Amino acid sequence: MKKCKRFKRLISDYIEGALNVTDKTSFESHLQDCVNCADTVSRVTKLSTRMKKLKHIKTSEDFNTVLHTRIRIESGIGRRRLHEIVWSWPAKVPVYGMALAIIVIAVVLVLEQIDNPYQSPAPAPYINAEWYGGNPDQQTSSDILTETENVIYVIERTSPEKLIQSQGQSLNSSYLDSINRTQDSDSLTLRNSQSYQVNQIVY
Amino acid sequence: MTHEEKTKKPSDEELIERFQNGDLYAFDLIVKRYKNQLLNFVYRFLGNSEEAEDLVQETFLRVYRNRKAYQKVAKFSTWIYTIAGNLAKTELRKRKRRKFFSITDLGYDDKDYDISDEAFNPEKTVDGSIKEEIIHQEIQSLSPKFREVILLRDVQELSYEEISKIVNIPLGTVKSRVNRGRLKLQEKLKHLLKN
Repeated sequence: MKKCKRFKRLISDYIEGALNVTDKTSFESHLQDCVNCADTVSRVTKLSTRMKKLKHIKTSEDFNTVLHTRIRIESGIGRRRLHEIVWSWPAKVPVYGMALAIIVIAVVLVLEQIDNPYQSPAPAPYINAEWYGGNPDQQTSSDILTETENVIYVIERTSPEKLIQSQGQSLNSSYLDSINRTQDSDSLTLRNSQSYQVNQIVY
Repeated sequence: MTHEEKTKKPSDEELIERFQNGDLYAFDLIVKRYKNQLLNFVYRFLGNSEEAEDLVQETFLRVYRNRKAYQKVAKFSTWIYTIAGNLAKTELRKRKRRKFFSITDLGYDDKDYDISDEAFNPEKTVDGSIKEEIIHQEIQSLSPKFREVILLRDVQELSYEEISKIVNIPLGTVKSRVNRGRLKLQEKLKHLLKN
């Protein structure tokens, strides 16, 4: 069996006449004694011959035409033609039409902005409150920061009753129910019905 | 130029050189010379003639595109078979992925492998075309590494040295693969190859 395995490795060399004389003699001597190996050699020989006789198929008749077309596209001639078609006059009409429509819409939007320069922007999620520290006519150095500095009132979610004044923070408008403005001061009413007095809100 | 020189068929290497220098007619001659043999190689490798033709087209497109990349040191046939073989192997990998992602894909080309049960009955006489179909099917059932070398050796009748360059594996490995491939195939086709 071990011998068969070794000889099976040499079958192709044997049928193709590539074995040297010594190997060929010992191979043939084994075939005399081993029917299994002799059958295998016979089948491999037949198979090899049969494979060479397998039916050959031919390319389709338009093979060359298709190939030349693909090459033309590949080499750019086709692409140029496609480009010409895309940019031919009938094809340009919808493209130019669309471009004109975009320009008209843009101009209308710009004109609308010019007509109504005070149109309020979209509501911001936060209201910034600028604190002047009391009546603007009686300002003291202790209760005013600077006019340019923003002091923003913050209502904390955890303790809505607490109104904190702090720089750089925001009053979340979602807590805000209403703002009552008077000449001297403003008051905020929150959604939990608590009211807070603030001096002035700028928003 | 003598009459003999005029009628002498230009070698592949001469043709590709002419093509590299801008002679498109030389490219057409290369196509004419190789299209059918490449088609048969790829067809037996992939098992589907339409796909094979498309792949051979792609092979020639690559030759066209990369004509400057060919260097005279290699045989032209080795170069073109390497391109076709690589494309075919890529296609097999794509097919494997498609199969993996589609559980309903029961066979790539059922029609090609649709052999009647009768054909598998060794007791019945099978005619030439059915034999041919069975051999074709059994070639497909070999793993690609055996299929490729068997086809190059037994169908395309290329030398072991050339196959070694095309497949890019050592000569000894090619020889052993061809032998093992033949042994596998004869085992599968036992009923057809008996006396």
